[in-house]
Amino acid sequence: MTAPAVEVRGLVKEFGSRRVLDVQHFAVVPGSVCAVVGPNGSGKTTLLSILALLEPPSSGSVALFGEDVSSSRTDARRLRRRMVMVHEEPWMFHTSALGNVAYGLSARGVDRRLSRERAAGALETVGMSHAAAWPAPRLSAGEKRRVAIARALAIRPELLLLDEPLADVDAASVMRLERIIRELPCEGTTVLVATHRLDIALGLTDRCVGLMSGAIAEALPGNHFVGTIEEEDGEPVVRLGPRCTVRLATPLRGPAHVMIDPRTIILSRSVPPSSARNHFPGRITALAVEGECVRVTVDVGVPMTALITERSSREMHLHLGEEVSVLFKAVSLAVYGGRTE
Amino acid sequence: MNWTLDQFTEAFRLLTTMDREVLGIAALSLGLATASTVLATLAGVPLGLVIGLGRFRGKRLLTTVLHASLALPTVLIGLVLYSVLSRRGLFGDAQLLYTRTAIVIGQFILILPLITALTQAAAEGVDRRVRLTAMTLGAGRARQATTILSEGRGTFLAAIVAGFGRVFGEVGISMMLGGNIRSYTRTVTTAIALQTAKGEIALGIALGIVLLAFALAVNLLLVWLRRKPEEP
Repeated sequence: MTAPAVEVRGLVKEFGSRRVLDVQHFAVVPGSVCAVVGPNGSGKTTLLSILALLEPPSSGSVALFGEDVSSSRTDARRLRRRMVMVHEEPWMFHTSALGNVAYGLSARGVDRRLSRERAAGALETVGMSHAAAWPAPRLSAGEKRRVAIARALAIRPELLLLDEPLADVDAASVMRLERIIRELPCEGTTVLVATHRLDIALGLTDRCVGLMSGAIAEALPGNHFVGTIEEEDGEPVVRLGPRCTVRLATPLRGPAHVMIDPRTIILSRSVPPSSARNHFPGRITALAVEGECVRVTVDVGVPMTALITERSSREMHLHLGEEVSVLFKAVSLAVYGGRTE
Repeated sequence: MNWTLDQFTEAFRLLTTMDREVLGIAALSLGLATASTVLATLAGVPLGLVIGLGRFRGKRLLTTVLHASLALPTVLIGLVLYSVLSRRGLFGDAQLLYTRTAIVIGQFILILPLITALTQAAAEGVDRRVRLTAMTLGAGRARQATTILSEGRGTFLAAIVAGFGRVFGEVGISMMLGGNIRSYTRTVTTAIALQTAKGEIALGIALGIVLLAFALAVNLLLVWLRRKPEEP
């Protein structure tokens, strides 16, 4: 089994007395795209900076490509050369866009002609060839970001750390960049993206973890499905499984990510008359106690989880394998992606 | 009144006729100041970068000492070096007193703290993303340093120019260690001091104009160097 591209254990970062990062365990499978989703100030950039070996952790262990970073035998510079981080507001060196993209190659001693050639190729990839000779610091924020991504791609890193890669980028370029990022694992690059926008994360990968106040929440809220939003009797629906067609309230159509917060799902022995547009019979396949709550997974054609209090689970006498109905409102679904028609 | 006017007229005559003595003195000052500035740059810029970018114990103390040494009076440096270089001094055998070398050594000591401190401030003023970007793109320490210098070139050049200006205009070290020997260690400033003492201020005024012209030229150069980078 290959070692994770990134693995951290007990990672803590403190600035003065303020603890900005406290990650028990986090790993990224090599050859995958992983997204860390969290609000501003949740520690995303700090996490990426530590992984990029630009910032030392206060304590805990970081392993990159199976090598313990804190070990004195590890050559940080050699490890750093196998990866690259693209900052949220990338710095452009005072030279041309092409000169910027060639920087990492020339820092690696690649000869000028070859590095310029590869840099031009990387600029082409992000659709910025026309700006090759332009002074990079004068580009717009979105253009800078694309050049910065080209600058990172030119190195052909094994690990690419992207901090808010799609902010300020125009819609056409977003699609191009999304495709580039999704295809990177095929070229041997593992990607870790940090973003505050779940829709961006879901557009790039299914592997999302949450980051809240410096702690990794391994599971996103849950009940994340991918499907196509269609119209049925003038009502938007998404077919999640043979027995499960979910009604939604959204102007969006087409392929999209659909999420249902497990806290909004009601479990019931029968289907009472209610305003809930969605109700599916199913069988309980898992019960897990989480503090004062119980996470109940019900197979309704697709696995759907509900978070209920421990007390209501007890009063309902919920057991594995039992039949139970799942109810939720059309408006409680969050939709990401899709398009307006 | 007439006398003053006569002296100024004579000064302009000396300048317009490219008087050999004026030119020789100006050239020597320029040469000495360039030599000491180059040496102090070679030592001070790397030193300033290390202090500015490094994280080490005693950094604050070192910075304080550095800033205090900016106030070193030239006569004090002259005095200390005199005691070291004079025949009976520690390095008396080298017979350096009253040589151009002695002036350069003194001027080097004078502006080393200045160039170091200004380089440190310039390095600390460069956006920290410059270094982080260079690092993550795989640059080694030397490449990081040259990248930082290049991104903040205006402020780094200002540090060097400030050093040059300081030595070009100083008089204490040149006088005490150079001895104001005609056509050997007589610089613009020592010549002005001497001529004034002799009451012949025309040459002094001419040299003063040269001094100001140099200061202006150097600052124009600085403005040009610090201009916003255009098309690369």
